[in-house]
Amino acid sequence: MGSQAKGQLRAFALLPMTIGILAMLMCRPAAGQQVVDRIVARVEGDVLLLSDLRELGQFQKLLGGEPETESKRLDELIDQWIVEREAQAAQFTPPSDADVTSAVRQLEKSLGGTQAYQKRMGEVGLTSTAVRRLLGQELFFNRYFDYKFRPAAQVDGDAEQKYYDGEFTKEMTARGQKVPPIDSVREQIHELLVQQDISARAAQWLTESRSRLKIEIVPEAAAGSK
Amino acid sequence: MTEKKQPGQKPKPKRSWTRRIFRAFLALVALLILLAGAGVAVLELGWFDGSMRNAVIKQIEQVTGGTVELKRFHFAPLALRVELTGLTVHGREPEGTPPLLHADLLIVRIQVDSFWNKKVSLRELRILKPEVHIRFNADGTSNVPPPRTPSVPSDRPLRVRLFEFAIHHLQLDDGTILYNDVRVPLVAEGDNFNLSVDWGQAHSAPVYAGKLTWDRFTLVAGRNMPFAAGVSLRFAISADAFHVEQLQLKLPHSNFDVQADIEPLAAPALGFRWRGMLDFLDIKEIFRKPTMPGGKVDFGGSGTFKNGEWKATGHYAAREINLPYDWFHSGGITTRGDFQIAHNTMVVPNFEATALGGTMHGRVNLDFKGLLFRVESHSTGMSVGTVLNAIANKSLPVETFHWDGAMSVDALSTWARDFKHFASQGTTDWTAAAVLPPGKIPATAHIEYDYSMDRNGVVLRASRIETPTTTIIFGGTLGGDDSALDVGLTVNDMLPWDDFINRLRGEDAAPERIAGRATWQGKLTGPLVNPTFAGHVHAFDAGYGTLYWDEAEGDLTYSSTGFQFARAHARRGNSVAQFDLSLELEDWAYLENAKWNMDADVSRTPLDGLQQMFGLSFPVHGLLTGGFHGRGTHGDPQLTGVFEIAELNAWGWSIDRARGQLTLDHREVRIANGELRVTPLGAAGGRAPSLLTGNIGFRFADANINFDLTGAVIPIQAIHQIQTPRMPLSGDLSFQLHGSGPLLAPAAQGTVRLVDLRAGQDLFGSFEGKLDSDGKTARVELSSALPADRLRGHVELALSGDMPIFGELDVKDMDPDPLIRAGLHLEGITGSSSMDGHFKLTGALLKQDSISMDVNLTHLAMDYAFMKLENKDPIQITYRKNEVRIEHANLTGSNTDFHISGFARFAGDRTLGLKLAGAVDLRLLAGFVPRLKTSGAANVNASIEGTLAAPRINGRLEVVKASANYDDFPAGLSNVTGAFVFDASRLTFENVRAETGGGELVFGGSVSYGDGFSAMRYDITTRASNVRIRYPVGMSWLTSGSLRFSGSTQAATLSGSVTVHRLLLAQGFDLAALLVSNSQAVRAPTTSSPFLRNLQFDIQAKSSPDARVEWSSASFESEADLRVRGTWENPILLGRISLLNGELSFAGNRYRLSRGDIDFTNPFRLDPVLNVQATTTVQQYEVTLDISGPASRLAMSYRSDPPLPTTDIINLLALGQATESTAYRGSTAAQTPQSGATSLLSEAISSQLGGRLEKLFGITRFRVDPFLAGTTNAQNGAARVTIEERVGNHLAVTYATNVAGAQEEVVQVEYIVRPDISIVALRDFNGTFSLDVVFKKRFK
Repeated sequence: MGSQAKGQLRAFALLPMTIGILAMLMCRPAAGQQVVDRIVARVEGDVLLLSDLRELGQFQKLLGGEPETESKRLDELIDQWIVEREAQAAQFTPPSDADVTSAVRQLEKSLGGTQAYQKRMGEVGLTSTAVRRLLGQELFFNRYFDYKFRPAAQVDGDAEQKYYDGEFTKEMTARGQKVPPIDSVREQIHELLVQQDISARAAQWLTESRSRLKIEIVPEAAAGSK
Repeated sequence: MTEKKQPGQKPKPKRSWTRRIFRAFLALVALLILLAGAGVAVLELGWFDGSMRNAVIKQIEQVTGGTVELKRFHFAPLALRVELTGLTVHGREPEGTPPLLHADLLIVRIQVDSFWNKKVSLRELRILKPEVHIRFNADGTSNVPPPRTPSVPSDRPLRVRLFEFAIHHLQLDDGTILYNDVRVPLVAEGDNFNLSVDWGQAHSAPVYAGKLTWDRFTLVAGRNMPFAAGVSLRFAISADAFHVEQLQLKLPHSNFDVQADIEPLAAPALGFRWRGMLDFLDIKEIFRKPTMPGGKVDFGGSGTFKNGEWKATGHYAAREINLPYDWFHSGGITTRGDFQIAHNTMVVPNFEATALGGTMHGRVNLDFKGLLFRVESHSTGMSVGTVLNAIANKSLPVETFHWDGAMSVDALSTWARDFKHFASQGTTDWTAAAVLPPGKIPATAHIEYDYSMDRNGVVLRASRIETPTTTIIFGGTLGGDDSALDVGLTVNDMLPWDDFINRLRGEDAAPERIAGRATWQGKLTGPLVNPTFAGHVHAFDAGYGTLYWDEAEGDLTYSSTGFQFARAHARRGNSVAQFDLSLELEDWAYLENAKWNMDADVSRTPLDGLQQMFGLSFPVHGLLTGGFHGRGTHGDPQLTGVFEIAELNAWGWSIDRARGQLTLDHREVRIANGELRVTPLGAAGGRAPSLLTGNIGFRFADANINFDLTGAVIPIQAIHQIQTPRMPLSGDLSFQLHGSGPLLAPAAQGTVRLVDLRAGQDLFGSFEGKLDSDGKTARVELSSALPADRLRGHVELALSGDMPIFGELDVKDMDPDPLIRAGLHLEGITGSSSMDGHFKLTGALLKQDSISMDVNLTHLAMDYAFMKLENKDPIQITYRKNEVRIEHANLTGSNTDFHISGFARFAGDRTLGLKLAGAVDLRLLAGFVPRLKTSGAANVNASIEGTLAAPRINGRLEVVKASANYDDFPAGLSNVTGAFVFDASRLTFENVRAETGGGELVFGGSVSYGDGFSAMRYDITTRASNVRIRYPVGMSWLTSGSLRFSGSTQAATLSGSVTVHRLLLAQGFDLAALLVSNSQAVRAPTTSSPFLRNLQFDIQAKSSPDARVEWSSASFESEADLRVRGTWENPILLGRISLLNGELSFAGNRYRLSRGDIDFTNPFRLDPVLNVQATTTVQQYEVTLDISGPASRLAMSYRSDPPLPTTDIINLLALGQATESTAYRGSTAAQTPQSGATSLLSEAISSQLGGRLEKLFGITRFRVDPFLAGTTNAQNGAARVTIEERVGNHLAVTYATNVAGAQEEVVQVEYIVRPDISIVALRDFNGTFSLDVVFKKRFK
């Protein structure tokens, strides 16, 4: 292959590159048009924002994981909206500042201390106020679930015995541990079964409530931030 | 008549001795006679009556000093009679008042006893209708004038002069006397006064004998009552004596008869005798003595009065004595005795009396000087009950003690005059009576008393009264003015005192039952008629009506003016109330305007006890703490207080706390700042999810209410009034209401919110309402809150009359599933449905028959039995009088387009009238028959009539290529074709064929449903060819034959005869699992279908000649002859399966079957007996395996060639080598069972907590282990944070740390190779690293 041919070949190679670069430049948003926020979903007229979605991802990142997919986070935000709306309608009392502070301190410890916590917050882009709010929401929602569903969670002695004879004994045996008498663990088993019932009821309630809501996902949300 | 009268002497005649003188004398006499005759004639003719009348008037005026009127005077000289007619003497009485003296006629006849001696006597003095009026004024003056010529005092006594002027006959006829002495005062008035006195001789001595009668006169003395009396007196008066031959005095009810002699008059000595009867009624009436006892006394005796001294003896007998006094009232008393009077003293030495059921003996002394009485008495045999009846009164109704016994009294009583200064002292002892009347209580007593009227009280010393249940010890004074009696009362049973206490409460008060035991130590003070009881009372097991206290204690003061119970406490069980109570009484009565005051404090006192204290029985329980203050009057009580009730349960509501400020009076009851914290039934303790706060007041007069209430999250499921079994509602109710006005028609405004309203398990959503009532009409605006705008409307209710109601509701995209599912029990509703429409409600709330609803559904879409149905045209439904009528409905869907119309009544005969026509997708059947899954298309044309309980269906259902599966039934139907014909009460099959299990079924028979679907009866026959049935789980039978399915939904039988061509055991069936399983026998699948549970088998099964038994690792030729009996869950096989030849794999080795039999002989359960022998070769060994015995207790034996020990054979079979040392790979041996269990459960609980948040925040796991109460210890007591992140599907990293110690960190990485194999790398708390390969194997 001669040099001319090489030059033609190079020109052919540069041509699409040039076109591609030009196309990229043409398609690139103008400077200053960076998306700050936008609506990603509407729930019964209320809006869920992209910033909410991002913040949840940052929170997940802060707690040691990778952010989930946007659609999953959006589902979670919708569920949060349902719980928050209902809890407020029931005039349920939010957690006190002391409770939230305690939760923040626990999170700090889990992350290796205050400095590490601050550093981690900076890395994920969260402010301490946002973390406090999110942790407060966690406490609020968890307590509301307990408040809402515990009265209906009825556990009798037969259920405790059944769990003890079944799953508990089996699991303890599998762990190679001696099975303690039921009376010494009845209280924990009772609480566990209540919690299971609460979880099941909460899940069912969220599903049912969601099916009755007008939820509109904005298509552009799929192209939202990572 | 100036000559001296010489009784008994006659004038002496005079002798004349000269005739001349005699003649002259005669002449003179004749002259005189003539003169006298002339004079007499003149006098008889009344010529001188006028002058004589004047002289007489003058003379009378001289004598009387008054002014005399005389109508006529006539002197008859021949008869020596003077007649004075109309004689009136006026004294000094005022003008216009009766004269001093008047007589209609006064006749005086004179008798000339001696002309010569000029001695005359009064032959007759007769006065007709004399009237005497004498009046003494208060100043002592009278109308009697003094004589104008003062009388010359005589030196002879009257009795002498009386006889010197002999009055032969004195007579007063029909006289009238009026004597009025204002000074006393004394008035005696009466007529018919007659007096006659005749002169005579007795024992040669002149004597006057007289008779005086005054039959009726009225005597008024002092302030005493006028009384009519009559007196009759016969007497004789001589010169020396006065004899009262008989004096009779008659009073209105009494009479007296007296005889007396007084002689000589010069030195009088009185001797007298008397007898009579005195009725005390005369004394009572005449002397105005209302307190005078009733009774009569007969008496008699005689006596003398001489030398200034009285002496008398006699007797008396009193009867019918009735003492009417308030403090002593008794009748039928008698007394008698003899008396002696001498020396100014009367003595009754043998005084006797009968009274109060007993007798009294004694001695009575009366000192006339001062009229002092002294009675020494000894009474025996008196009845205590009678005495109590005698002394009982309104203030002290002691008769209600019901005591009885025998009473004796030794007493000394003194008094003066008519019981003045009465005093009595003595001792009384009560002893038990030998025989008690019914209802009486034996009482014994010893009482020492000292009564003094002057002290107005009685002193009691060391006295004691005892009954079987009561002891009273008392001492002190009981006084009319003041008392100070110390009383110690011990009552072991209050019931006998009930009558007394109830009487004290007032005769009009309804009697109450008072029970219990009590002691009272106190004083009785104040006047006896108005005593005050003050002391300390302590009661046990006290009951008052329906009220009951275990104990009550306090300082009690009780008087006619008040009742105080101070520093008191009452206890019932654990309920204790401390209080001070005072009531103002008036004459022992608690009147309407009487004031009262109360302060009461309770602290965590159970309401049960308090309710029982006050006779209440509301279903309210809890612990009351509060302070209450009561005041006001009986008719206007006022109560205020602050209360708090903990652990309250009222009408099934668990209320953690109720508190508020209570104000109650007769006008209004109000609770201010009230707060209820409610936990619904079944909630875990300690939670207070529901709040009701506000103020509420109710005015009694006009039944007006005012309120300001806020309720938060009240569980609707706890409102039983709106719950029905068909549609149980649940959710949370919050509201805010305020208003005022009449109770049933208040003006009110507010909001209501229903959160998570559910019907059954289905969620409706949340709703909001806005209430606005002007007192005439209440309007509620309704809207759905979550989701919004799905429901909007309003309801108006008139608050008067029949309460007309009108409402309109628009729904849009509303889910009707909860209504359909809960109301119609159509379980086939799945997914979400939607409904658009308009609801219109009209009628009157109080006339439920008038309520109607018109529904116009413009759009209805629902997922029903896995298909979607939608209306073509608007659906119009009306509801009136329990009847739902579908005017028109056309539903379409996949393979579905049918019309439905008609009605259904839900009351009365519950009749139906529905028509269904069109094409339907058979999936709809699933909605009607639970557990049945159908598909395919059908054409239906049917009418449903009859009743809901027993519908009559006529029509056809034609199906083509339909399919059906029922619950756990192992064989489903496909390619079902044919017609199902409904004939009112029976379903028959017309050419119905179906495929199942690769074979074909042909159906015949019928299903009867005439008595309702719940009582359906089947009689279905099938012919099957090459049908494969999978039953029990893991087994598949290829069979042919005939089966009959008969019975009802309650009990059915599947019978017939089939031929088994092949038995296949499903992949995964492992003989090893069967052989090494536990001792459980072979089990059939369980089912939740009641129908299958009640299904009985009776099937004969034989194998075909080439039948085989196969599973993935084995294949045998077999022969079988079985009979299937039993039920679905407990099938029984009887017979044998012979395994002829074949191979099988077991634990990695392939065995050759030497022989095998499976015998089913147990008629009670499926427990076959195996006898199988198989061989295999491992390495150089030929191992033979024998399996024998019932499946529940299989025995396995091994042998090898060459021979090996059993353990080596097992190792050989399991591991491929003869010897193997295995180490038990236990974990966490150091852990205690408790800590391990705690760890396990805490993780599980945390998993639940974290799982919920995971749904909201996406964190794979974030949890805070609180470590449950009771499980925390020093080692693991702190909270632990665990973060787990799943990286992809196969890798999970877990980080855990104890927040109390930064060093306790755990890092775990788990890589999942396969679902049953994973590799775990762990850095534990101690910093030790480990690597585990986890192999999971589950055995069923």
